[in-house]
Amino acid sequence: MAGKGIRGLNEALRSLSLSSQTCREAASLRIPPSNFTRSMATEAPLPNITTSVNTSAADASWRPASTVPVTIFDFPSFEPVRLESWSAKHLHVPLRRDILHLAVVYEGDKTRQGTASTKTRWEVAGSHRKMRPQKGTGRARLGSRQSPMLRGGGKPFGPKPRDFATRLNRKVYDLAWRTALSYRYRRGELVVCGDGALELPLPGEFARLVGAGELREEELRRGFKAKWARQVLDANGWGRSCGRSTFIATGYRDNLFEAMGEVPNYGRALDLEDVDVKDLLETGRLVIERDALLEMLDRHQSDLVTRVFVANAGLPKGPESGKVLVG
Amino acid sequence: MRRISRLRRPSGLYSSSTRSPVLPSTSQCHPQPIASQTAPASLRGPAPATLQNHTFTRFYSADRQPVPQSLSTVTEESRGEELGELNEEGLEAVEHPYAYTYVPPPQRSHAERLDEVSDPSYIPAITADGLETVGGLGNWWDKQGHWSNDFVGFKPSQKVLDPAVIEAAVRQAVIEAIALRQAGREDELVRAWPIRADKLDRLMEVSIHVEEDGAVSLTGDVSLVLEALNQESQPNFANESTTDGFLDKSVLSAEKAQEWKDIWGHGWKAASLSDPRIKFAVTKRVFQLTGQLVLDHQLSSVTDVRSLLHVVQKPPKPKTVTQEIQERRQDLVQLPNVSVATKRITRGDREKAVGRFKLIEEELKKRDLPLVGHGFARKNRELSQLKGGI
Repeated sequence: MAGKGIRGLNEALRSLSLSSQTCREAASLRIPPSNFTRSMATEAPLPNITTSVNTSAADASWRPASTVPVTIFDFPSFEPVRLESWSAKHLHVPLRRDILHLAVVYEGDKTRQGTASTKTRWEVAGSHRKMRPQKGTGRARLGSRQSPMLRGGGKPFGPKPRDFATRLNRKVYDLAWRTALSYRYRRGELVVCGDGALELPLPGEFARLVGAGELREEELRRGFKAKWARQVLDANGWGRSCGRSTFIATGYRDNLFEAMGEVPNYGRALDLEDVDVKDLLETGRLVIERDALLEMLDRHQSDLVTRVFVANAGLPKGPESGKVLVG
Repeated sequence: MRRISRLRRPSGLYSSSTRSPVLPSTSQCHPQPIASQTAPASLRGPAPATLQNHTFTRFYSADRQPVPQSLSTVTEESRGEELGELNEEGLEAVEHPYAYTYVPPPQRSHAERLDEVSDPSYIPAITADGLETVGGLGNWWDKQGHWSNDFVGFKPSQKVLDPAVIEAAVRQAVIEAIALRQAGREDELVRAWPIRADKLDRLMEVSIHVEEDGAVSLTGDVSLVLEALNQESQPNFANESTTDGFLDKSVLSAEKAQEWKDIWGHGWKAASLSDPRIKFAVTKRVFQLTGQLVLDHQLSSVTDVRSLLHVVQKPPKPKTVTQEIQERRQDLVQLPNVSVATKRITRGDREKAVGRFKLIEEELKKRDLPLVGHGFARKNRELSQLKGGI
């Protein structure tokens, strides 16, 4: 009895769905074409170049995940401590080199100083007395000594301070940020560390030596930090031989930033405020604090979140990232 | 919208020892391993500061656990006492492995001024020959004997590339993870586990059975596996001077792994890794033992042991075309009409091959021209700037 009932339900549902209707049945439902207009051209049958999509196959073939896993590491030990799920709209955006190019050019233009300046003949100091008589000397006519053809004269059409900045739509620029991060993620070059974890702890022995006043010279202390940073980076496969690393933290981390300043060949450390798309694309990998990455994504998702006021505050404002899966 | 200004600014150099933002919330208080017995806790700086101990090898999570009250409250007095004792011991203290891992330069001594020299026979030198040289401190830490304790991370210093050894490590990880799960020690699945090289052979004898319905069961000395995972049972390796010896023992040798591989067969590879906790534990352990990291975007493709092996056993990409040809395309090298050079053959190489370069060299020397390169013209400056140079 139960089986029969379900079969009956299935049949009823199937008859409701559009795909179950045959073409002939569907044609009878359509509005018939109007007879009032007729094409002037000779009508040829349409070539059979389009293929209909098999709906069931399309369903099965491509169903992209809405979240991607992100491992959170400990710093500097590089121990995986947690697994989180992040939105695919944040870290799994398809690569668009053109958009990255637009963003990098936009940033380059924006950061041009544009202070080149020359003086025109009207700005060069000096008297505007006529250098020599107009006629009778046998030489060329000449006005003042600021003439562009003279040495020490003004520069015609020379550079003047100006703004080189170009425009880029905010949504495109924000997409470029996420594209760059996604590119790093897919290549396994995005190492996410814990919140505020990106400080380089130094051996306790160092603290003891400094406390005992044995490392008075600044050079020694800097050398120690530099060597320690080199060791940490080499041990984790982040160093010079592995294409350098960019460290991104939410603020200035004394030891790390100082040490990385000593070993520029091993990488660079950046405050979140100083990062742009080009920095994300430059070195071998990004080692980034989790909250810095969240903040970065929060600032660059204008194409994902609406600016329209939504009355229901319970609705998610955008894609959600950083949900703990394991750990 | 959150603002960065509200984020917690990291505290200074030493307070970070208490800060462990990445710890699982279920962290429990464990007695410190041998590390704490050799060095007082107050001497330790921030978290991996215990690296100064040789006992401490690629084992982090437990070390980040809160230090027991009895150990953490070592007062300044006791510290001073210990230092004093070390000084009294004299020669023995120098041999102490933990006290002098980083040797600072000796105290500065100042020479007498020329007008205050007490020795009447003193004659100031006119040339520098034969005088003691006084160097800077620029590369003090790179000199022999000044730096004896390197940083040790979670992953091994050398990546394991042998497929059989990797398979053994994966099997070890799977056995350990399933044993913990069956013992109900769920919390420990996400922690770092100690490396017990001495019990490796016994662990390999444990067999994995995969039923038709996907259920996995272990037979063998499971209690020994669990015991080896106890974090208190971290063995004392203080006698070992280098960590490399330790590394060799953390995984099986290639021959042994091959033997074991033949014994195991392929049946165990059907064991499912679909449970995210087990998968995390196994991939983490494999990373710790072999240095093979399963990348985040590959995690979704890892559903069972077979797919995990497929990911971690993949040979690394050759770095150069030459390497690739010599390792994988021997058929090209064997061709009679093809010669393979390791680097680009330039005009100079051709001259050298026919013996004409000596003449060219002489002529260049006569004209005071550079033998290689273009003299004053530098190579691509932007490239060196990108790599952190000037």
